Amino acid sequence: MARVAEGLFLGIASGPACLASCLPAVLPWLTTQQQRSEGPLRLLAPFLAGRLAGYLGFAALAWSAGLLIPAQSGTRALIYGLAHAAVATLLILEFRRSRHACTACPGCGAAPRSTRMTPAALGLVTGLNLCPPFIAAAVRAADAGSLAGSMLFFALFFVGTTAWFLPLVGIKWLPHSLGLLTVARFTLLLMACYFSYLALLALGGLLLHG
Amino acid sequence: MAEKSLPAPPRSVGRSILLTLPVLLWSLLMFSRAFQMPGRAQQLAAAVTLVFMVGLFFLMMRTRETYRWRRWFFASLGFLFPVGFLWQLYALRGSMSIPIEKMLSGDTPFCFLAIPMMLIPAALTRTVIFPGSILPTASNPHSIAVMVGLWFAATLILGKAWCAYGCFFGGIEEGFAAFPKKARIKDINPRWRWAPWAVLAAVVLLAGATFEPVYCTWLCPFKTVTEYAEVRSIESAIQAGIFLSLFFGLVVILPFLTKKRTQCAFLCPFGAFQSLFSKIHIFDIRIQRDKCLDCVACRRSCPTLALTDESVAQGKTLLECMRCGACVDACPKQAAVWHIKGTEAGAHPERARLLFLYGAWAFATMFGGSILANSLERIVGLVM
Repeated sequence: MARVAEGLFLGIASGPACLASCLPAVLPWLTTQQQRSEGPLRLLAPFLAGRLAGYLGFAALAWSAGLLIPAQSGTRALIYGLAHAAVATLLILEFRRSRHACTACPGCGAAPRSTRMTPAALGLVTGLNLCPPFIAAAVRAADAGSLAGSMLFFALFFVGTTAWFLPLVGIKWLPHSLGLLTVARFTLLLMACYFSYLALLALGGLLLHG
Repeated sequence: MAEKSLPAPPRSVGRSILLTLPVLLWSLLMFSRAFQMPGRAQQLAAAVTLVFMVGLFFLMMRTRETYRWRRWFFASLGFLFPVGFLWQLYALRGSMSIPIEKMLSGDTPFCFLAIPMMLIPAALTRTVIFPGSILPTASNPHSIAVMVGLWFAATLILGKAWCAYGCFFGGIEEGFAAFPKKARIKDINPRWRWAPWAVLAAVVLLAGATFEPVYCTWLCPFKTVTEYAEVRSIESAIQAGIFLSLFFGLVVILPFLTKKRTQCAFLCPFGAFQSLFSKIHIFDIRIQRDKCLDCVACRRSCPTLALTDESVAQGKTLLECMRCGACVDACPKQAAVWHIKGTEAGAHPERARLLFLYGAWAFATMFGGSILANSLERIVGLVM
């Protein structure tokens, strides 16, 4: 019971760090989608579901591999590099998808809708960010007595961090404008460059130094 | 820039002197300390700066033109700032590059461009993410507290006009933009004006995620003429390459080809951040629709794309307007006018201009003037 509560509190305590590391990828994408007619929670739900899937998948992996994943720098670099390459690819795809803004009504400028898979995939790959709180959670989960215990720990870690993501629904109430969409699209591109660089650094380092 | 302008009749010499008198008194006050110093170079530099600043203000009063004369000050500031700054760096540490040990000990002079990136980390964790010292020290007088205080005072007085009367970096591009007679590249997609907002969003988000002043580490073109992290790795070599490319691309070549301040218009996140204060600044520029010929001379003259066809049709400038006065000087029908918010557009445009200019020029003399005098002193010292 104490371990389960620990997952929740670890999530709540480290939520701002998780939010800060995810925002560079999530916020520009969410802004390109804010002009769609869906409710704000419907926009965020697939992302959070993808994130939960990422957490649970990693929990299962952490439990089955013991402490190996967080401890081995090579494995860490591989996961880190692949996850960041995936984030960069998704952001570039979203940049391309949003290039034709709606012209039906003047000043609307809504971007074409993302598929349900895009935010889920974005949630999944940003969920695999091996930041210090995430590694701390992985170590504790690996130490759990059973697979179910490990996954429960991570599920509650997810619940704790999610509380910090909910304010993002407020983006729905930003004023609709073509300028905002253009800024969001430029930002998507800049962030894609940043994540590509991180991926290159991790994977290149792995190739060169093993 | 003001190719088609039909300037208003010049003001009389006597009246122009009278209007310049407050600026003369302010300048004497600002430079009085330098005149009491024993060094001849310092006295001479202060005297030249005083005459330069007061002379330009007199010409602004006499001709009723702003941009033309302000540009002389601003380009001089841009070209002379690196002289004084680098002189100081070489005197302190013998190099333009700052070693990592100096950074860790908080010896990096603070730059105002880092301010937007510091806000989120400072608000959430009370952490300052710039490798400088909070209070001035003997080895680093450009401390964070001093520079943030200066910026805050400047923002209260100038708002976005900081970019036209205070930012020494902008002076470099304005200088290069002034060289050619005509722009080689004229059609710029107005969508590019959103780019600095995207850079602002990106660097603020990444600063929150990495606790690093990302713009300073990766994107600042002015590292080329100030200081940069010592090149000791492939990463720092890539960074130095980016700084050089951005400097020569956006600060030298594109301003020369477009006659615009392209770094300010397409990249600078601080300029975008400063635009947010346009809403609370009491002075702005209005286009009087009843006088406007829709010749778009104002749009073409704007150095930072702060006028679009839509904004001209609405009689307003965009948030990015830095009150440089180029559009007012360029308008052949005096339809573009200085304006105090809350008053009728075109009611007392010259009064609005004067009130704005007294504040702006007082700041320019205090801040930019001291930089000019300091750099001139180095040059005069060399010659003497």
